[in-house]
Amino acid sequence: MERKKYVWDPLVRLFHWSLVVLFVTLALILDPESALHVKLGYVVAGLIAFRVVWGLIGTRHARFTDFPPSPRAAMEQLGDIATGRKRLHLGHTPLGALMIYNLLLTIGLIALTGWMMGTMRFFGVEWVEEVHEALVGWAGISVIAHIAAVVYESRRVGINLPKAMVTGYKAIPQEE
Amino acid sequence: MSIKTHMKASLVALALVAATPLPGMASSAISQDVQAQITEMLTADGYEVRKIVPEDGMIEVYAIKDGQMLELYLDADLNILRIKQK
Repeated sequence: MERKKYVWDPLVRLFHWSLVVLFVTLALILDPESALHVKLGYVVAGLIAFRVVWGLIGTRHARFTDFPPSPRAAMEQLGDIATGRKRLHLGHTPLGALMIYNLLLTIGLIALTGWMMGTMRFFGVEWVEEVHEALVGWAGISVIAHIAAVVYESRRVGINLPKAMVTGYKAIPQEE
Repeated sequence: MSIKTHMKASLVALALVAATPLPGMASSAISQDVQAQITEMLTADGYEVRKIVPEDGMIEVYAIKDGQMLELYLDADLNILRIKQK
């Protein structure tokens, strides 16, 4: 038996998957010197800005208050994983929260340094481009870890988390 | 899959991402002598030279002139083949 809980509103879901498509496109597909790269970079900046606003005024599980950055809670979750305890988090888990703040910040800084490279002051300035590229590498590593963690956590607690980010609903397994 | 297999798979994937060179990365730099030549030549022509890198078998120069951000593409003999306005 499963109980369905509505967790992710349409804007959170649209934000998430738009960012996935844009990140892959910008990091792996487009020529970094192309005009389209710059334009889509601005779209990403807009998405991040939207998510921050939505994190302040949005639906319950979209709000930052629903998943505050908490090293203590993250440690507790690691303890749960180690001892086999399945504690239910309807929204983002503590570890998930840390990853999200990491990604929002990293991608925000990628957009910022990208913008800087188009300004008179920082055009052709080496360190800005190097930081931009280093952050993209870090984001790539984070994305791989994020995917691995979501798959792992889905199996551990018996909830299809990727599907929930598509449909908005988490199917919570009930004890027999 | 067990936790261990997941972790191993993730680490392999991470290593691949970390090892993959990003598109547009320079394979080898332009020598200091050539950079100095280019800088002298372009500065005399009113450019403020910001960066010189190899690109697609040419020499790419990021420079500013008359308040415009430009990318100049030079051949090995330092002839300007193309100027792209950013």
